[in-house]
Amino acid sequence: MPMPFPFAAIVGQEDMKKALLLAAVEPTLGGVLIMGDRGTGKSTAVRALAELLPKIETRTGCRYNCLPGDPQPSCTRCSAPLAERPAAIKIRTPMVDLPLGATEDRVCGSLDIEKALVAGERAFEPGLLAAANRGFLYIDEVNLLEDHLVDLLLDAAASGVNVVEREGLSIRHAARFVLVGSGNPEEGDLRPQLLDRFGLAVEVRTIMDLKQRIEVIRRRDAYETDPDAFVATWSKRDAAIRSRVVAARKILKQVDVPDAILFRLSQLCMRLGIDGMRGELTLMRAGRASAALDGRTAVSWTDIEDIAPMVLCHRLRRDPMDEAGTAPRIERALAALDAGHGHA
Amino acid sequence: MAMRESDNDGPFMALRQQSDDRWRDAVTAAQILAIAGPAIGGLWLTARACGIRDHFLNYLWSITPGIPVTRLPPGATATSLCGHLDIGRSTAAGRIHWDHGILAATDGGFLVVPMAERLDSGAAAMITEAMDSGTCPSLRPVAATPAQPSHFAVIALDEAAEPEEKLPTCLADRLGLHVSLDGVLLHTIMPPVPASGAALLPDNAWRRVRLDDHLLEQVCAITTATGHGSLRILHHLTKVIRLHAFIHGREAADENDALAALRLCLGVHLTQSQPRTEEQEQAQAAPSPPTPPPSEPETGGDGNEDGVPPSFDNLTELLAAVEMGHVEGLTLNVGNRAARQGNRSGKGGANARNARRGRPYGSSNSPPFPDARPDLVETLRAAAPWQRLRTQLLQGQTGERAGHLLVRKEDFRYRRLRHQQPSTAIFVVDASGSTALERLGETKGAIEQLLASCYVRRDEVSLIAFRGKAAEILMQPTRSLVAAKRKLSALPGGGPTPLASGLERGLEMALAARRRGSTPVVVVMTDGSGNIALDGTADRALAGRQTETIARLYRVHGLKSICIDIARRPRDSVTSLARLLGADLHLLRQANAAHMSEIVRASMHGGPPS
Repeated sequence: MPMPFPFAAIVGQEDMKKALLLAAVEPTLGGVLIMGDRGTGKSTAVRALAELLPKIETRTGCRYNCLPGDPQPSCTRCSAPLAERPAAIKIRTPMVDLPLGATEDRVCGSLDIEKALVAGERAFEPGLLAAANRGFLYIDEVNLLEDHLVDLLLDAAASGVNVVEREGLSIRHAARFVLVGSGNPEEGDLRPQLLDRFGLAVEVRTIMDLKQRIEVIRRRDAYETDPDAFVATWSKRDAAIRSRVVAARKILKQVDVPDAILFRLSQLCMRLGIDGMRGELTLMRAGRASAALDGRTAVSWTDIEDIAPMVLCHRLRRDPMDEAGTAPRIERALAALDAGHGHA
Repeated sequence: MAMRESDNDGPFMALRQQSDDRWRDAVTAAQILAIAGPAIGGLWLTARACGIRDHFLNYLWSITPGIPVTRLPPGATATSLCGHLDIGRSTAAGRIHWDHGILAATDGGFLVVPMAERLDSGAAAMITEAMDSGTCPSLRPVAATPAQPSHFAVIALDEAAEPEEKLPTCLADRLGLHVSLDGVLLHTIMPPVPASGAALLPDNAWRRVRLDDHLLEQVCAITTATGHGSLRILHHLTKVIRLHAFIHGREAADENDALAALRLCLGVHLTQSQPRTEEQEQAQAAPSPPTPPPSEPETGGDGNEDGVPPSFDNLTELLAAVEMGHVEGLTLNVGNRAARQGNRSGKGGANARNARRGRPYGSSNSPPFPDARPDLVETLRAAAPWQRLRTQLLQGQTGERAGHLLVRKEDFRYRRLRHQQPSTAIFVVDASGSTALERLGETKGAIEQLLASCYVRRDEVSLIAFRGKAAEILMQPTRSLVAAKRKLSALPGGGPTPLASGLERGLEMALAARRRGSTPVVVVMTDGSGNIALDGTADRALAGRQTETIARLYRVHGLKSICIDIARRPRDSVTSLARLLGADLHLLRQANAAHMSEIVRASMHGGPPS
């Protein structure tokens, strides 16, 4: 399989790149939703990200991506007696594409028909959720996905566990993954329940700047002509981003959120009339990840201002009569907050 | 040449000229596809099934000998595309027998998608994923097998006739070349294409063709001006430019290549009315060995360009023309490249009973849809009574003792699911007369309120307004609030009342919605007094008769409809119209968005799906 297009070589779309990096630093953010026009490099960015991230450790042939030191009971290979366990290896961060036509069996896993019919044995065949454990689950055209699959995914993403109770099987296995969805809003909306579960939402627009467009074409062309050479040219910059993510993951736990900032976060959410706590929590976590990405150990108000639109804009109540998008409302709220309190 | 004579020969010569040009473009596109293969994504062929299309495809096969061609079977499912478990052979062999799917088998060849406008969106997504990644999406557990390589070029045969039939956008966006054979005359293809035997092999040398920044900038500006924002399309365009230059033996792409590529990818032509037509006299394009000698009347002065250092006058002019809206083929192609709305499965009608999701209501011994999974418990239950008999039979036949369950093909049972169909609300609104603006405004409000709340059932809403001479579809069925807002931002109003035409459009759309497996609800808002006949004449009596005929058809087809009387005083005409339609009649003195959306919602959700 050819190397994916390098992450660092993606022109523009800074919001999307930032959101993906934040999710890579802090997987508990709850996924990224990328909505926008066609041909804006949504899938390219996601595929590139998986290549960029540091490899994860697991065992040969493990289909649940178990940590070598902490095998799951449902994984027969890793929970075998110590002597029989396969060797630990490093694999690329899993990046699982969920095809639109996928069935429930394929997503959750199901009874292994071969064993059931041939040996009369009841065995579990893990699905995509198992394969995506500790990695990314990418759904292109998420707004066209069948509702029952969306429910399944939401449930697994929120709980980090996939529970299968069917056909006499009773299996639980870890399914901690970052859900990345992309789609074109003109083809239909997402249910608000699903919208709210995504931690970050960014809107990508086609680049209209002539110079940038040309740069995109040139780079893409260089990549297609000789993928390996192109990836090699960009590998240094990719490596720089990788080390930023690795460093950020290390210091993430130490990043401090001052009380004053927390107070203003709540004020912002109240002012915007956002239901529930998820907005504030995500805002705080994303702020932390953002500071960590910059190598700082304290969250500043600028971090929050930067990320507030991508954290909050999909959580605002939709008003069908409101012509302007939701981003201006957040900006207004931020501005009002600044006017009221002065800079923190 | 032909141009000079055509001044006298009238429309036929013009037709012939157009037909020749189209065919020449088609031939060039075929050559480009032959050389580039998967790099260009594929070819979007708009043509009805006919001899000309066959002729074109035969030509394409003749220049690409040895490249396998796979035809996608209609109704191909996820499992048939990406591989599936062969249950018959698996049970016979006693171990898993995995059948690699169509996409893996197509590796290195062409994938022909017949009736691409009816391609299932799920199947389209799989094909595009394979196109993007070069590997077949694996439905098998990841660790079990390495990914199957799958590089192929797609040839999508688009036979769309109705406006609602469109290629899935995700696929259309990835196909670099667009050839339309509409209007190609038999006369054009009568002399067999010369040098059709000359095979063109896939060749990567075209990547060395240079494309300088200035030309690229121009092309960029033109694509943006024609409304093609997608960078993928722009990228394909640059590739086609260089391929075109490569075919013609140039080392650096020039303006002719750019013009040809714009035509081949986007269908952008300059119309004949452009001031430059005078200069076409000496039009003789750059050497193009495999094509018939071109004499391009519409694309600007090729003749001036040979040997002249690249000036980009023609492109600049094209850009100016595009911005002024003077370009032939433009509206067609912006429309063609526009998004197909919603999740059209293209398999209308069948979804209600044999749904892929919903509540189980029974089991059957034939799969309700091709890749249905057997219901294991029911299968075992069906097999159980026969076990003793089969064991004895097996022992009698082969002498061996069966140690396991004997399941046969006829035992397989499939769970059947029933799913409530989504609804499509079609507003047919009287936009004539003085109160039109207010009414349209409220209708717009109602539509947006409905859309804001209809995501759960995936209901769709569309709008037809009638005024002046005829009815107009303002919004195709959509469930996207974003799309609706863009479409409804400016609505015209005023003029006479072509009620018959409005009802006709509504009927067509309702039947189309039903074909797609959705339940239509037609909301007619009128004061009942149509005064324009279907042909646009102001004949009140004729209009009345036509209205009656069409209204009866609503009842014949059993369409659910709502009639909203918006006249100041209740009128008999609306009452009788409602009776003819078989509609629920509502009176609405003041058009009111909230009230209206409530009525429609009640009728969309209230009745059982028919």
